[in-house]
Amino acid sequence: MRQDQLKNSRLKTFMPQRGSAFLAGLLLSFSAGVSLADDEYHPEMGPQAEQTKHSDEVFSPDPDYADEAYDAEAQIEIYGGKKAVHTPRPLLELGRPQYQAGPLTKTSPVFGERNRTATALAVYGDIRTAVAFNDNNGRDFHRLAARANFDIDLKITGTERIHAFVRPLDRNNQFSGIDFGGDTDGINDELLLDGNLETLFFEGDFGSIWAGLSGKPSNFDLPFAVGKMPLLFQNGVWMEDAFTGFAFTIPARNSRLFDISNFDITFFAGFDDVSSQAIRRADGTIADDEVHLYGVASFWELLGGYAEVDYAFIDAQNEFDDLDHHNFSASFTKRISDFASTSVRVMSTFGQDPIGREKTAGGTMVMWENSLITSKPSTYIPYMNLFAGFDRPLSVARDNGGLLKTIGINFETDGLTGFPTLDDSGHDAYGGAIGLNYLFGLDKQIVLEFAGLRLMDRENPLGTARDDQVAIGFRYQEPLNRSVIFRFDAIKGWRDDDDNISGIRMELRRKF
Amino acid sequence: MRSTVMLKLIKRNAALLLGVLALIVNMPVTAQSEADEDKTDPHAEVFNLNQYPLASECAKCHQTIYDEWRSSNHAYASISPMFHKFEQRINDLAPTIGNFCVRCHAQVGTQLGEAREAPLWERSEIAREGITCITCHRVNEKYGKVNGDRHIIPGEIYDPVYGASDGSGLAEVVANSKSYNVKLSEKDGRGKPIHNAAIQFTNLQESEFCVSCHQVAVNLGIKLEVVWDQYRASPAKKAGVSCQDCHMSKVPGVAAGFDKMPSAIVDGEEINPDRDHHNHAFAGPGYPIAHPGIFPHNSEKRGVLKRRTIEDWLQFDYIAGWGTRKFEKKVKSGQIDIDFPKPWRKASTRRAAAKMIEDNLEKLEEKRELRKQVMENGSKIDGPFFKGKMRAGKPLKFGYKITNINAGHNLPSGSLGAQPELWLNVALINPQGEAVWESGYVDSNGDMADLHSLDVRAGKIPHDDQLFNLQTKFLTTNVKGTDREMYLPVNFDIDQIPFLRPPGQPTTVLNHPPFVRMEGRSIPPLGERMANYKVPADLVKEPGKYKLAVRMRSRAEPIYFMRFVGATTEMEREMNKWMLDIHPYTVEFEIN
Repeated sequence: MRQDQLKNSRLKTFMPQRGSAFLAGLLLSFSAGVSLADDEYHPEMGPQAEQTKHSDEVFSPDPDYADEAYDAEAQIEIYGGKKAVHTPRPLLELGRPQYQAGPLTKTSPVFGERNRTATALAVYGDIRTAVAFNDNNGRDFHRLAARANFDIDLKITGTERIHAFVRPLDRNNQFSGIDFGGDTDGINDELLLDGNLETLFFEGDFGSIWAGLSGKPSNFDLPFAVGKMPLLFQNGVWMEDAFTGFAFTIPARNSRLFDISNFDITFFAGFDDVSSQAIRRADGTIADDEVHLYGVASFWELLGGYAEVDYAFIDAQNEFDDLDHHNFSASFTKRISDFASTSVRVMSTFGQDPIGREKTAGGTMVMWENSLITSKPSTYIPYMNLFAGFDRPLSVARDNGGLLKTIGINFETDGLTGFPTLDDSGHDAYGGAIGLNYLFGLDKQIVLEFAGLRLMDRENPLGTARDDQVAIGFRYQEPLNRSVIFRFDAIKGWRDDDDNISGIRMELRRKF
Repeated sequence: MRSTVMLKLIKRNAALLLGVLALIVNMPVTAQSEADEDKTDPHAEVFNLNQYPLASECAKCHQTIYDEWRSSNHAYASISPMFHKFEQRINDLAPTIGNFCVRCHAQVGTQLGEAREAPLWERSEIAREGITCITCHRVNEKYGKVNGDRHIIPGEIYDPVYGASDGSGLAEVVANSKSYNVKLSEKDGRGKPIHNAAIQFTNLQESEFCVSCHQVAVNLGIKLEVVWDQYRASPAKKAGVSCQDCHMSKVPGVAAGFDKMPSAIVDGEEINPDRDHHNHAFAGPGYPIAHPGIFPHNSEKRGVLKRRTIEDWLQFDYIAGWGTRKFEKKVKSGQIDIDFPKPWRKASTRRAAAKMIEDNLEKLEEKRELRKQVMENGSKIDGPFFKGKMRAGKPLKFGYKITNINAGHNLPSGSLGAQPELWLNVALINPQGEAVWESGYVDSNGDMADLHSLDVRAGKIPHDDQLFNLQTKFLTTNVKGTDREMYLPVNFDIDQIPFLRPPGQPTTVLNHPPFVRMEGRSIPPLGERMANYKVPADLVKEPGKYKLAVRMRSRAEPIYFMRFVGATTEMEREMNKWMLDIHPYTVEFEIN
């Protein structure tokens, strides 16, 4: 119905409403805010126009509450109907607890009067336990696996902190757990403990630090991070990786010349742990210690939407020196009328010139992501995400899933049980996902999706797909209480020239 | 490989790690020293309300300031019905947010240990005063971006306050306390109690003082207030104009200097009569929608009204006109038969209440004028500027130029980024005087006809395709693919129990936390933007004199958002009633 209306001129629908507004205006004209040409306000205008008497009555009326009786109970409910909410606490809290009632204590000037410390240490995260029944790449296996994510955050001042992240129950993406049933002989259990820090970074603001050291107000903000830090740009399409290096940002600028409400520019450099999919050792593992990375990412709020424009140079080292390449990406996101939300994304990997070996990077990915604006625009979201990958497009760096992870749930593994997916590389292929995401009550979620991909050149596939692939996927999530979420996933995939895939999994995620 | 690298990193940064260790060790020490400080009476800060003097006590000498403050948005902070509704809703949805909101809105109450969910009438009076005198004048630490994490120094009314000046005027009063009829301690017997000293704290005059509450990000790094971000990049900042210069000046929203006025009147004597007067109305576009019996604060409640509680006031139907002459006449004559709640059974009480409400509404009208001045001093509408030939039977194309003439921040700025609304309402009137076309119209709830309008979604009215709307939007990323507009900056697609904890990513260098962001459409300081329109040919078929009427509309909250948080009809009514129309004017022109 709305579509029909959109096809019509707005005015046709508008006319009856306007008529009633006009009548109402006439009736109310005695008390109306009719004013003479405003002596105090003289706007510039085109030569054809001349200022005249103004009356607000020409506009559509505001809501009329004449028939609404005063509701004292509802008014009392505003202030008396609030209720306590169980607030899950972090596993460990030292110093100032987060967002608790009670006195806010004095702060310390150890880093300067203008950058005061209020130290707090918190350990929090989640433990995920899942059981899955998978048929993946010709292997039928059942797995019970666990993953622990611990964030350790030391707040120092309002702007400075140290953050670390550990995953003690998995190593090299292999998770502690038990394999049973299917093609597994007997029961294989494995406990994989890992004390490595997945991330460890210091985040701060030079502006605040300077204010603290100098004792004077700072004229600038310059947030920065140094250490092993996870950076994520363009929702993880362009980059999703934790590398060792630094980043700093020129934040929250604007331009009246170009009418830009806000923009941010981030510069970053990585010197270790750079997970470029293009730089691999002979055994196929990513040579993350042989890559340096230099880049700039920018975010621009303009034209009723926002744009992201990013560039990086992937500087391979030593034996991989000839695998250097560039990566450029641009995207624009906007809502189109009351019809759709959309993002268009182009990412190009180029400039690699290998000597005596095959090219590992070079290609372009085009993504067009859409979701319909329905009568429940925040909770009922049909979506259609399309992609076309020419040659070998790559993210700058990624240590989590494939490039197509954001296209559909059928391209995303669960990071725990080896849950099957379609080929998520996007190499020399096109396809997409059509799905429905329904968040009823904002806390229960159903996702149903159909996804597929076709190869551009079936004779010489560049990704893991040997031929065309399609799959249907399903996800359901529901909190069981204020800190435990139950999740169920299922996938059934059909792959030409390859074994079909299927999987069912259930997960409990305990947050703290 | 990674462990080797990490080992190297750790070895290279031994000093840093030692520093970290020292900080951790220091934590209990800090807590301990704080505890030591309070050893004399560990419960004094928590329970002794005398440690937190009321604004109404300060009013005894600072009446002008009190009068300005009592209808200000600061004074409204803990009374705001929207605050309470929103605060409960977000706590229901994101359980770790806890006391984050109340620690600014009811900072003293938070410091007193009051529960966030405590009914307003069970809160201390000082907590109900929201951002009250001592929230700023009993602070002596220079906070930066601490997101409301501030410490108010407890102390009786006799203890020192902190101010922008050197306190010389007060020193004279203190030195001659008897002649000024003031007392400097309880022991002094008769006289008005006053603070013994005013300590100069120049931070109060700096924009940085406002940052602690007006540049706010909640955990995960979700920015809610960005006015400092906008100010820091503004020409005003460059020119050395502070927040206070515009929002406490003699001309609302303009750095036009300050009125000269005494800082206090003590025993009829003006103290510092020629001092710069910083207006404590803190002029801005926001406005209250609370029951006018409970806001603005009114220290003039006398006689029987003094005994009326907040619950009593909320039962008082001011909409029906209780206590007014017309209403009471009808009651007396039996035309109206109401079983009045007990506190309002007596007509005399109702009349007294109506008088006080009238006084408060008058105050709100004054506030409306200030709001209008702020917005009109900061914005300009020019136009229409026509494009092409204006011929009957041809589409009419024109535009208005909207300019942000405020050098300090974007238009609009304001609290909680995605809520304040500012849009253009334009109507075309044909030669017969009929309005034939409009953009910026509202639906039956008062919302603009965009994707959030319930009427648009129900197909009752068309989408306003040409809407010029400067409202910022919160966006969250869909479970897969693009982003969508969302009421809250919290992503429920990825996590149905969102825990707002410190983020795993350095979000200050990412612009926003992953999968949640704000999208500004505001006009940069001193910037301008064209609002372009095209009226279909069939609505301008006949030649003659047409008119275009325009106004910019400012509202604190969208109605769809109010419904999301469970606002009452009264709240919606007041939200729409006090909406502001800026620079309304009409032009006429010929179409041949």
